Amino acid sequence: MKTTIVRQGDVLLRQIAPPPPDALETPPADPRGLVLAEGETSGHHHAIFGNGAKLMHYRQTGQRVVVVADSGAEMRVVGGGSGGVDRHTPISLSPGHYEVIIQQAYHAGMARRVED
Amino acid sequence: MKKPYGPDNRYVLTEEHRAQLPEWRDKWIAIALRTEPQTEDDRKKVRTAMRGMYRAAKLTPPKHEVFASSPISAAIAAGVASGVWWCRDNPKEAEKLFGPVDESRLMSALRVACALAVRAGMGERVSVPAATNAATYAATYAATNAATRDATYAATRAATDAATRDATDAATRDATNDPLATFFLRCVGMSYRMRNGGNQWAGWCSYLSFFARVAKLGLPQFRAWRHYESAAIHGGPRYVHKRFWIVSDFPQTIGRDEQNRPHCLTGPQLSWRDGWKTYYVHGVRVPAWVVENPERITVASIEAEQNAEIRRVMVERYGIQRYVRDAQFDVLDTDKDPLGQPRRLLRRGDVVVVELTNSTVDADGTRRVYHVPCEPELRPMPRMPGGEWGAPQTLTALNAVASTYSMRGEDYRLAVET
Repeated sequence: MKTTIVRQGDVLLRQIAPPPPDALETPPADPRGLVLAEGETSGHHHAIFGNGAKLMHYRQTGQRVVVVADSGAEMRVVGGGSGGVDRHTPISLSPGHYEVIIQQAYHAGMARRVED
Repeated sequence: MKKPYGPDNRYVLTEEHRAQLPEWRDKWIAIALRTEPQTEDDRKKVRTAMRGMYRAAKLTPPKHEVFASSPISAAIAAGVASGVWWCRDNPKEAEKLFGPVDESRLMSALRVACALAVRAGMGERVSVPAATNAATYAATYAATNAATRDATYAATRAATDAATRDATDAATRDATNDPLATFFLRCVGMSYRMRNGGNQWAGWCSYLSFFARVAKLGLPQFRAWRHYESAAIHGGPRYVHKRFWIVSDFPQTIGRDEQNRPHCLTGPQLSWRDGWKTYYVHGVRVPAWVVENPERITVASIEAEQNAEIRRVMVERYGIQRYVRDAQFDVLDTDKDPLGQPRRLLRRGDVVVVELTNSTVDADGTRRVYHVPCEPELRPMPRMPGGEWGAPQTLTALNAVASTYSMRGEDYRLAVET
């Protein structure tokens, strides 16, 4: 399987083989939609838009997985525009499973989320 | 009649008791993290508990019952007091070692020793067998002692121990011409032998008390142990001697980070009401000024700091962007990202950062340049908290960026980037 990796700012999606169905569970719904990450400083957030798209996580580790249905989906930045200029353009996602990886920085001997 | 628990009737953790583990753990975590001062009721209970422990050990409770404002003051007072009492109880040996020792000389040496110990401590570094049995042990131990320790140990006990050790060690090294005062200072250095952690040893108490209070094993030993438990609930670290006991109050502030490491960026991480305090940033003990006066941090002061951990904290306080700008970093590697924007891998000492340029243009027509601190060997970062770090990589800009996304450079092939 060809691994597709896409990146939108500090959010990276890496296509993976479909995990066993019982390995994933659905977290409580976020009224804003399928939010992957929130900007620490500018109020924007990265979210998934698409019919049938789901944001799930592994029961064991909590690591998040985006499930994109046959009709595809888009990763977009919502809010926090700077002077009318979008921080990042949308990215189209083909059907499949993608693990969500957020950029981290090294601080005090540990990995911490990059402030975006 | 219910058969008493013992070697031939072992307790097995029940589901009902298991369900109470989190509440029990949290109760003792709160005890370990208490910052409200001791009340008169606390002191009354501590007196009862201390007397009960002496009696349980078949010792006569001492007349001298002392409450101190901090464990460090308690350590100094206990060390000096133990020396004074040794001289009083062993006058002939004291005279052989120190010459004539009367009360006046004892008190004079005591004052010198206390003053030196406090001064030393106020230095820069211290601002003052069957499977069921095993399973039950494992389940309760992890849920009580281990959990309480994890949540509180570093920020309370370890930090206090370090501050007390520094203060008492410094006192031992301090010089005085009076051999009697020197002896007292040595006693301060050995005061840890009289020490018990009180509420700071809550982990162990949470484990033992679970069997007394929740499992209700009814063992005869609990009648004596309840005093130990009460002293841990109502008092901080204590110093116990046949002639006296000294129990410390609780701290005024306790700072922790999300990993329960001692941490506070706005003041002392631990402080007590008598002025002793200690400073930590994400588990690193730092001089007070690094926290209280960050404006004093300069490139020169960063470079002059010998301790690598403190130096790293100073860089973070100074600001990584500003540090990269003000200091002359070595450029280890340069390349361009897939969108043609320049990337540089920079290093100065043990600080490694990757300099990146936004692919999108800001409203003013410029592109933002930002710096992301990397693990010095570019080990891919763990994907989840507590996860494993990857293996070291060659120091290139590509590997640096990949490491910040928990990947190796050879796997970091972006199809789309915005």
